[in-house]
Formats: sequence, structure tokens, C-alpha cells
Amino acid sequence: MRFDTPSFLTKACEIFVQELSFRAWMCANSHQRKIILDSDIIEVVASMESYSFLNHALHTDRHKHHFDPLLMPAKKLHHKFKNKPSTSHLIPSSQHLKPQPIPEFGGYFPCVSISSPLPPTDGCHIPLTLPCLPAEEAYPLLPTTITHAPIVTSMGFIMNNSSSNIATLGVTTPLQLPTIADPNILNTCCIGTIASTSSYCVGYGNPSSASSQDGGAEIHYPHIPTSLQFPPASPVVNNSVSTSISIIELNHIQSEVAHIGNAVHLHSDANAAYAIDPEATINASDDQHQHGNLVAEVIPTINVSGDNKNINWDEVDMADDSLLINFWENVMMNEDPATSLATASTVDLVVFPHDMLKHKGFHHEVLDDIDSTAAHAI
Amino acid sequence: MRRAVPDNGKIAKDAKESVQECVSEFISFVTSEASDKCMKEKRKTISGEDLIWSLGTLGFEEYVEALKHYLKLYREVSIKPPSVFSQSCLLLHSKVC
Repeated sequence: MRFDTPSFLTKACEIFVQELSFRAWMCANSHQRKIILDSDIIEVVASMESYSFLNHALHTDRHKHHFDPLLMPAKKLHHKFKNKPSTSHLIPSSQHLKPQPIPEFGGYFPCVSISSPLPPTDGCHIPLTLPCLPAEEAYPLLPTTITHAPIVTSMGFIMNNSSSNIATLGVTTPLQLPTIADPNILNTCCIGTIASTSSYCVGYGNPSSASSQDGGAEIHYPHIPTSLQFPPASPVVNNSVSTSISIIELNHIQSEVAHIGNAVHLHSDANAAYAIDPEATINASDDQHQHGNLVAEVIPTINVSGDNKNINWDEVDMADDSLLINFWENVMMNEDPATSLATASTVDLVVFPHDMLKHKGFHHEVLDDIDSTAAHAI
Repeated sequence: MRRAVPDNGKIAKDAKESVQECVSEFISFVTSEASDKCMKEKRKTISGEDLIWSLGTLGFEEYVEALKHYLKLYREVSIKPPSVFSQSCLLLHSKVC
């Protein structure tokens, strides 16, 4: 054989690797780093026209490597968040039950349509805690309301926050709740989570604070309009006191706040259903702004009553209190006739029966788990 | 990969994996191009010349020159002792990098 072609190709690959490594090293140097990260590789690939064929390969690789962790239990995911180097850790957000547009991160993925890398974690940790978990303590009356917790999709987390959001909103409240992509869960979660704070948020004119977020997390909960403000609730203890329900519209952030109570069950179950660890901590960078659109699709209906009464959020006109009152009355009708909504100073428990939860197909074992947790909380 | 990086530099594991993916893609890319050329010319064997041609076509012209030297030295190696070959390779590396 005159010439060994495989060894020739091997040599070509060797040269390719060396060039790629060298350029990546230059890139790392430009960032004052001595460690070559995969972000450097991506940067090199993006900068070289002759490497354009690698864009697809890299993105495919990213999805393969970064979606798998999302299938892991949430606790493992939690550890991954903690252990991974900051700049190299990306949290893809594209996998979810319902497709959602995910904003691009920086300039690294010009061709990426879905990946949304986690911003470098410079230290802003957003603890994700279920409202039911800190049940021992009353929900603090915080001036901040909407906590932009990572949006947990069915497959994983979508970091949806911005530095300004974090700074303004006060990340560390125990009420931070991962917003779940599933609209059904989403609404209820919002309901579950934001209740106590949101009331205060409203009280403090939160819309301004939240809206001040520069393109920060945008949580689109379709059509939960304007500010229905109920009087701020007394500190809400899980499963105990009724809460106020307020609907806050913050720029693009609309969240419906309701009583946490058993809604936590719903939320928890939702979390569990999506393998979300409510205690997962997500590192968010203050440097990054992500214009995340939380699930644009919100559940059109939510089965909140035992008789399968569907509530179409799109159709519910929450323009005024009376409608909301009516809504909740309908919701509560089969659950607790005694409860009445929206009195000036009282808040009613929204009871989400387990039956309803089961109807929604939540994992029973998780339900039991949550129940036991909630029971401790009481 | 480490040869291209100074001694004080480190390479993240993710970076290595990414580079692996890139190289795999590179091989596929170049080989498929060379394969297409061979099919057009109704040949069944991909030669080094085909690879050089495909590298040039795909925008890796700088590789072409270095690999031509390598090809030349490789052929000489079959005659000359291996020490010359390794030295020539190092020379090529330095030229490329």
C-alpha cells in the first residue's frame, strides 16, 4: 500500500484537535482563565467559518449531555447544580411537555434555538422550597413578591431570572416556588406559592418592582388580569389560615395568588410529577438576564373541583373582584361551602381534594410524601 | 490536545468531550466529502489524495499544505528510520500550530 490513508486522516484529526485546542486556549486566555472550558470550544467554533459544520454537532452533544441530567431525580439535579463549574454548567430548558421558546444565552449559541444555558453562577442561589416545607414558620411578610424561581419543566429547570429580578425580588424567601411549565400546575403553583407574599407585593405596589426587572423573568400566566387586590393576609401558615388571593399583574408578569394550603399538595404533586425537587437550589448569576418566557401556554382548564368543573383561565375575566369571588365560590362550592372568598379581612382555604389530585394523575407515592410533609407542617 | 496548550493550562472535562464530538464530526465531514468525490469518479477506495482534496474543499486549506508535507515524509519513512519521521512530524505540528 503506497500510503496509509487512515493514518493520514489520523494526522489530519490531530492537527485539527491541536488547532481547536490552541484557539480555545487563546479564548480562555482572553477571559483570564487558565482552564479551557467547553464554552471556549463553542466560542471558537462559532468564530471560525470553517468550523461551522461543528455547530450542529456541538448543539446535539449539548442536548444529549444536558438533558439527561434533567431526567434524574430532582435531588441529583440539585447536586449537579451545586457541583458543576459555573460557566460550564448549562441548564437546557428546551425539554418540556409543551414546547416553549427559550431565550438564547449570550452569544455562544447563535444557532441554537432552544438551549438556554445557565448563566455563570456567581453566587446568587435561589433556594427552591415548597411552600409546604417551611410550614413550621409563618410566611414572612416580605415586601417582595414574585420570586423568580427557576421554571421547572417536565424535564428540568429553566432558569428564568435576571440579576435585577433577583436583587429586587429577594430570592431567598421560603416561598419561592419553581414555576412549572405545565399550565395546570403553573396556575396552581402560583396560587400556592405566591399567596402570602403576593398579597404584600400588591400592598407594596409590587408591579413596579417586578416590572422594573429589565426583561427579567417573564412569567406569562395567560390572562390573569390585573390587580385584584385583597387585603393582605395575615401570615399564612400552611394548612391553617386562609389566605388572601390577589392577582397581580406585573408588566409581563402575571401571577395569580391564592391560598397555599392544600394547593401545596397540588403544587408538590406537580413538582413530583415532573421530578422536581422543591428543595433544589439553582444558582443564578447576577450578571445574566434571561428573558424567559415562562410557559406561554397556560392550562386552559384546571380541574379544581370534584365535579370536573373546568375553569378556563383564558375565559375567566378577572377584571374585577366580583368575578374572582364568583370563581372561587364555584371552586369552593363542592369542597367547602362554608368558605367564602374575598371578604375584606378573611381568607379562605382553598381545599384541593386528593381526589382531584388523583384525577390529575399525580403520583400517589409522592402525594403520600407531600401529605406527610404537610401533616408535619400543620 | 495538551500539546497545543501551555503547561500551566488545564482542560475541562466538558471541553475534552466537546472536542471529541468535534473531531468525530470532522472525520465524518471530511470522509463523506472524499467519499462523494470517489463515487463521482467511480472509485471504491478513498485515497490520501481524496482526503487532501476534501480538506481543501471544506475550508481547511492550511491543513492541506501541512498534510502534503506529512504525506511526503510518510512515504519517505517507509524508507528512512523512524527518528526522522518523528522529527518531521514535530516540525509539521509547529508549522500548523
